[in-house]
Amino acid sequence: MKLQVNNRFTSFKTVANSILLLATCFLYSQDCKLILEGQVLSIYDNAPLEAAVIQVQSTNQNAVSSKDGSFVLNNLCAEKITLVISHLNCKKRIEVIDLASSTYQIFYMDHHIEMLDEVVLEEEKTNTVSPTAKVVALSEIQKERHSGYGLAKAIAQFSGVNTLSTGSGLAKPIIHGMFGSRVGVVYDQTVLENQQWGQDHAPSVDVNAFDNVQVVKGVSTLQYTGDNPGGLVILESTIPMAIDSLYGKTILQGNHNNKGINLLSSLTRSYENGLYLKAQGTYKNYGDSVAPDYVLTNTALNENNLSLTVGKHNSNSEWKLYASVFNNEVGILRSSHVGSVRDLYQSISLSTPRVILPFSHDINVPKQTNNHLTTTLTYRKTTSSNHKWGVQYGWQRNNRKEFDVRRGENKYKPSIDLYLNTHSAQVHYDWTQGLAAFKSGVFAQVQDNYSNPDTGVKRLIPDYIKFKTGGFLTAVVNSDRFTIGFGTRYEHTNNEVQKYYKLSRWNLENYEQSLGKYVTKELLNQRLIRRRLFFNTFSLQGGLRYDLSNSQDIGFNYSLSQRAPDIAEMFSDGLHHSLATIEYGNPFLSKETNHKLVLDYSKASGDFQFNISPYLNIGKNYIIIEPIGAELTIRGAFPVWEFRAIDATFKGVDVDLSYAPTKGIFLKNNTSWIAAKDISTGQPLINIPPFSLHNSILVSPARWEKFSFELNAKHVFRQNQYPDHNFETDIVEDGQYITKTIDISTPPSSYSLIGADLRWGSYSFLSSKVNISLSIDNLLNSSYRNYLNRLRYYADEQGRNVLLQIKFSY
Amino acid sequence: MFKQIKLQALFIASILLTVSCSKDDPEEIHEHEINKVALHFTNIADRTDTFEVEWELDHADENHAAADDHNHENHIELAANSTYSVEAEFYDTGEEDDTHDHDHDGDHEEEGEDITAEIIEEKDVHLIFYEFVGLNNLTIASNDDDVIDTNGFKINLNTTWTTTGQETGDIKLYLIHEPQSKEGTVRNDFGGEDDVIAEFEVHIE
Repeated sequence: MKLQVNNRFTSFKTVANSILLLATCFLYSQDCKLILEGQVLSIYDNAPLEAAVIQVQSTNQNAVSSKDGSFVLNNLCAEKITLVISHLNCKKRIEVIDLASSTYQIFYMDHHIEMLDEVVLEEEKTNTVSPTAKVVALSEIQKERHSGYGLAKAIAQFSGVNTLSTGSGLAKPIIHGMFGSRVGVVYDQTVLENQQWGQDHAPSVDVNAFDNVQVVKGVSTLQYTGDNPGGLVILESTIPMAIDSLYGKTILQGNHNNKGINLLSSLTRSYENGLYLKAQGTYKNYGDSVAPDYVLTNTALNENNLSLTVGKHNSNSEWKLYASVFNNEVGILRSSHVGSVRDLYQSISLSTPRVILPFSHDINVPKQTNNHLTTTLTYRKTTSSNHKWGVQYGWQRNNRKEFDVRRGENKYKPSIDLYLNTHSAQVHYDWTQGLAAFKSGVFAQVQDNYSNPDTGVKRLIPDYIKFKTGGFLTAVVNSDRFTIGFGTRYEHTNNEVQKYYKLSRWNLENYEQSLGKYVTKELLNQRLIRRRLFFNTFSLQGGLRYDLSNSQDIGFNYSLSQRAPDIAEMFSDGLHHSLATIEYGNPFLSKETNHKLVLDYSKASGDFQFNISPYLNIGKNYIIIEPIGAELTIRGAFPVWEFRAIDATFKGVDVDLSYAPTKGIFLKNNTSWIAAKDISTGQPLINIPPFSLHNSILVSPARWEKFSFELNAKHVFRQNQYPDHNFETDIVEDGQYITKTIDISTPPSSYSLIGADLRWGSYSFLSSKVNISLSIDNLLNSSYRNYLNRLRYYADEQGRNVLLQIKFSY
Repeated sequence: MFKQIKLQALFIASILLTVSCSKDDPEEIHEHEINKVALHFTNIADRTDTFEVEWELDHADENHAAADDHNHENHIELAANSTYSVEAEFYDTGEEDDTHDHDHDGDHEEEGEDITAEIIEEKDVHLIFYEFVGLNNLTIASNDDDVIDTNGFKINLNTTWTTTGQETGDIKLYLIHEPQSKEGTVRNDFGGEDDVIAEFEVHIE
């Protein structure tokens, strides 16, 4: 297939070029007679690369390299131009050339890049996401390597990024010690809307549907959100070039640990007129995960996702329609469902899970299912004066069902069944003035949460309508060595919440006095309130990046971010079976404010790269959940956890190092340390990632060009800074009550994990290219428990996992 | 530029209009859960000597329970050296919400919904276990008319209580969901999860 495309390229080349040249002649009649000639060569063996596409970004003028790698671009203007050089299965290269006269230039393509990419932390050359903050991106190989584990685990390779997981199937990202609504996920410029409550919610998004996965650590990107002091995960798709082409890839992965398969496939068709179509799908079917000593019963997972994109772009406008569905069904470790504190005590005291059944692909209760539909429609236009404006509309529908172990007719009913519908619209306008580039926009969002009453269980999250509107303005000034950024964002949130309170709770908290005026219905032992809550939040950012020398730069960012409390933080009300806790929201919370300072220093000289990034966050009215007492239920007394606001500080440092002592060998290290505490009590905060070190060595021998080997070691220390939330309960032993401490606080011991990767490719196979990789996670089959896994009380983590991956690119 | 701003204003106004209407009242939810356990005692020696002891989740007490969660006034008064036949019954007292009845004055003498039949239906995944605290002069055994599951295990819904000397202590009734085993002598032997833990104070006189 590749051959056909190439043939087409050459035949199209002349026609395409002449048309484009004609067009550009008319557009740029002044001084646009310059010629850029050149050659595209492989960086490894200087071999000419055929069929590389060299495109001028601003005009879409393009040329395709011939058999000897040479190309000609005619009729260029005397100005700074950005060239995008791409080659099938190669990493795209972006070059900025200040064209003053006709010239000849050789471009080297990282033809072998799939091997080497892993080593270097990719820093976007054209960092538009957050120009003064540190942005890291996953390489394609890293992304594919972790495609089976989901978004959070894929980005957890970066320093300062961890996961908060629930067993092996669910993980959410933690950046700089923050998670949940303090870390945003943006896909195709739309913020992913999830129910932000509980720790067992993985973002409902398929990382495989996107080409670029970027993480902005420690700051929001004000054009998207203002309330993410943790950071932002940005998922983007590249727009195919305006050439006639059909390409795609299929990855088939087998996991030995959970006897699972992961299949992902995508196909893109692009046309010369800028029209393109893309379809992508993922299918996962995993059985139970297996720890070294036992099966983790009921941890199977099914997932199937599909996304479709259709769009068209030309030099001054583009539109795009994107639609995707995400569906999964995730088993939750059977032993994590406890009926009472006595069950919890027994589970914690036992070294093995309470329920161990033979390996199975079945998913029983407890489990959760998620359906997430997203659609976005985007239109962008560049005006003659090179100003850009765009409109975007997005609709997201999320249904989340959680199934508990229940009795009788409720056995097959979910305990939680929530529908979250979000419509959002944004208009933005970008312009440049001298050295400064401005972005501005206004947005509006309506969100409706409906909690299905058929569950027969009181609503954990009440019904609400949230209306949000606001605007932003950002400015970036670029000079030779300086980049200065400034931004501000304002949001107005209007929530209308309708909540039933149990009379017992209502009376205990004396809500009649404070919330009595909102009561709309009085039942025998429930009160329904309808309450409107307004929040005005304001975010501000200032940043500076300075090139100290050719090889060193330093960046400094300050951000002030305000966050309206989540509905869950104010109104959640229910029982969490996995920790035997009753959780209550706090209806009187006010907005949270975080001041964050991030410094980063980078040095890159030859084979050595170094980055150090210390940060400090001061949180005012920082919302946390803590145990406050106990409540008697039909299953004995349960600890009660309630949200409250504190003043908190976070301080930490991320370090990344890479070094190539000799050609073909790469050493890499990343280190993260963080400490967070409650200022008034001095008590450490819960779920803060412990100190960790990742080291890896990659060997890519020059003589076996198509083979590389990587060994990585991760050492996670024990978290010694943790709050003591232990409590006591009376357990009957030998016919007498004995007071026992339920230790839910003490973190597990430190652990080390070794992993290995062997990669071959690419090889030609029929008309496609084939890459094969064999990876082993937890090579030594170590038994360990992870502090950041909420099910750590019940079972060990997954044991050795051998992953075989075959990738076809066509 | 002005045109732009006007357009944006219109755009927001239109959205404001669509959300100014609010939602209907959400439906109330009646949780279907066991919240009352009743034990019916019949003295074998004198079939007319019957009485009932109830354990009910006391809402008034539910929020300061940790310290004294085994101090309910659910007294079982038994005669020494006697034998009783005991039937356990489980109820959902139903929080029968009724907008017209605001005066919940405590004389709501309904039993609520009987869940016992549901437990009998799911006898294979249920087991009742009585745990003794400070009681040495009492034995509890499954009765002849007890419910037997499909594997031949008795689920202890109907039991025989035999007393010897005088003493005072506590009994914890566990309704165990999906026990790993139906054989054992202490709670930990059975595995599974607690559906109900009801506590009674026992006086043998």
